[in-house]
Amino acid sequence: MNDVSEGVSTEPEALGFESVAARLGGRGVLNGVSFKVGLGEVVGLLGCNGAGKTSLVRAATRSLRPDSGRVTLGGLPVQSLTRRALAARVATVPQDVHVPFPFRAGELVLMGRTPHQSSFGFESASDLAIAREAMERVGIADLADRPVDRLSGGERQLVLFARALTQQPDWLLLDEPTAFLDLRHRIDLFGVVREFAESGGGALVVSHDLGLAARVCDRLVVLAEGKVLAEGEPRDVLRPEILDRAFGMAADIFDGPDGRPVVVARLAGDRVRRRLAPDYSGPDC
Amino acid sequence: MKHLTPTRFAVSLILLATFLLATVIFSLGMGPSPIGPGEVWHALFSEGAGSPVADIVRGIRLPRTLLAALVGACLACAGVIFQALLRNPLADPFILGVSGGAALGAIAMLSFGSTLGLGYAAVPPAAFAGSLLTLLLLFLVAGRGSRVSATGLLLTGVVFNAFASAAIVFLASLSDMLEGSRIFVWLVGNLSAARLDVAPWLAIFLGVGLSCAFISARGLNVLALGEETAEQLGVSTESQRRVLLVAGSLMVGAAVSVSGLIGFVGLIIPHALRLVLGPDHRLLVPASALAGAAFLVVCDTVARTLLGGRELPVGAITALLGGPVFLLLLRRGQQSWTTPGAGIR
Repeated sequence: MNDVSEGVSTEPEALGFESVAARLGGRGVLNGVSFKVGLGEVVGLLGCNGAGKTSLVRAATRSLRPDSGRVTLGGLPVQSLTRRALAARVATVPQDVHVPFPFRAGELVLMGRTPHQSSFGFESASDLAIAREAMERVGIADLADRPVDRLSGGERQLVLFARALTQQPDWLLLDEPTAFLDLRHRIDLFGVVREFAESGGGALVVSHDLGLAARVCDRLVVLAEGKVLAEGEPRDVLRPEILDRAFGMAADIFDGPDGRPVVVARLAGDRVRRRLAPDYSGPDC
Repeated sequence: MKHLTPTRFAVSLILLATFLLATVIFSLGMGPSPIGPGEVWHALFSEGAGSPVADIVRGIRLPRTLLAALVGACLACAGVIFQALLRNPLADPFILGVSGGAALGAIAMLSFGSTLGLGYAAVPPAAFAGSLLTLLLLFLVAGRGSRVSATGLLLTGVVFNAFASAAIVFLASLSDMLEGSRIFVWLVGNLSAARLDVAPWLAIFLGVGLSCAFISARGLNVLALGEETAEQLGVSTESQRRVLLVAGSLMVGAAVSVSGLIGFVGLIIPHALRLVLGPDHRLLVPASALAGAAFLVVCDTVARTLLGGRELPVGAITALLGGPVFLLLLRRGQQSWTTPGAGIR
């Protein structure tokens, strides 16, 4: 973790989105999004396909330039930072990566040290130790010498996660990091994200797993059509009317054992069944 | 965790350099009057000028061998750069059309040079001018705006190559028998007409290109994962791409201007080395230069000695010799082979 020194700005250290708007191919993918991710918290970013989640992550890493508004890091616009300085503070876990050459998993994880190294040279002992620790934390130490193109989608996601940790950032941006993972690995991964936040980092997690997001995240932000539809604690955000507007789906919300909401989506089939059997008494959409 | 250690780096390069030296000595000994390796060594390093052996080794064979080594190094190094930049294991140094431009320049000079009163010596400069114009065109077409996209580059290159070969066919059909056969030999690639006075130029372009690639080798590793990933890891992809594109193109332009289109070196040397040494560009870039040089020295030696007095174009030998060797390597290294065709995305 980089030292969060007290800079000149009195603003609290946060990754801030300030009225971010951007167009892609003539279509407005982000239409004025504002919220903050502070250090020490995990924020979940929800929304249906095409709602603008990935574009928002790309705006934070300067891969997408907003047409208006800005993304700030501790009060400074990210556009004013060098890519290198930005990468030393913000690490991204992409959905997947295509590796055209037979790099080994360990080599890919070590590339996370790029923003902290000169453009040529060998890895130092501390670089290796950091990478090794990240792989152990994610539970993929045994994959280190396997070529990345021989790994399964889920294993590759864990490698990318370890690479992001190896960057030793202040903020982690995770773009559907669990899409290819089985349930146990999902929980493990979110556990590491939680640890990361508790040790002073901030995390923004794009996820389609509402239940897991509700249990892990301190706050949730729901995007719809490039705008923030709802923002707040999981119990305030995961409400039937919001889910209906965000995803166009009907859902029942229950209280989980930890007091957090549990979302159970209704099957579209319920409606069909009801029509076929008029005495069906299950939930309706 | 396996990774590139200084020891592995140094041992690999020392072994390859030794191999290159061995091929050079072998090449200098081969010819109408065979000379043993000991004698070659002696003629190179201790004997004063004047003796017939020293004349043959230093005066006749050394220039040619030196050119072969420089051309091979340029082509293989450019191959590594283009494969990483385009994220395509099937890319070769000729894919971006720089070679097509050089060929067009050379063929135009071969066809019209005599009417303008210019001799064969004007061909390499014309070819190099052609490659520079192509590079400019690439930037104008594919590099509009702030970004040079891999797909845009590739498409521009492919289209330009097609255009250049059509223009070459047109020029060749206008030319007489003698010019026609010269054009053919040039297109296949050969070193028999190469002159030593171009060697310093070639060495300069190799030096510049190799240094650029070597210094940004870590960037090449990351660029091979894609532009966005590279940016997320803090690499300024736009500037790095431009530098590497220019460096690679200058090496290709210089090599092609001297020797014509010697195929295969720039495609298989990077692949073969990746199978043996792994894909890390910090080692791959200098190793390719050394191995490319050694490979072309051997091929050129075969080309000029196989049929006794008659020379074969070295471009035919690289493919004949390189193909089977490469397939053999491919079979052995299948475990770590990445699917070809899974190229650009």
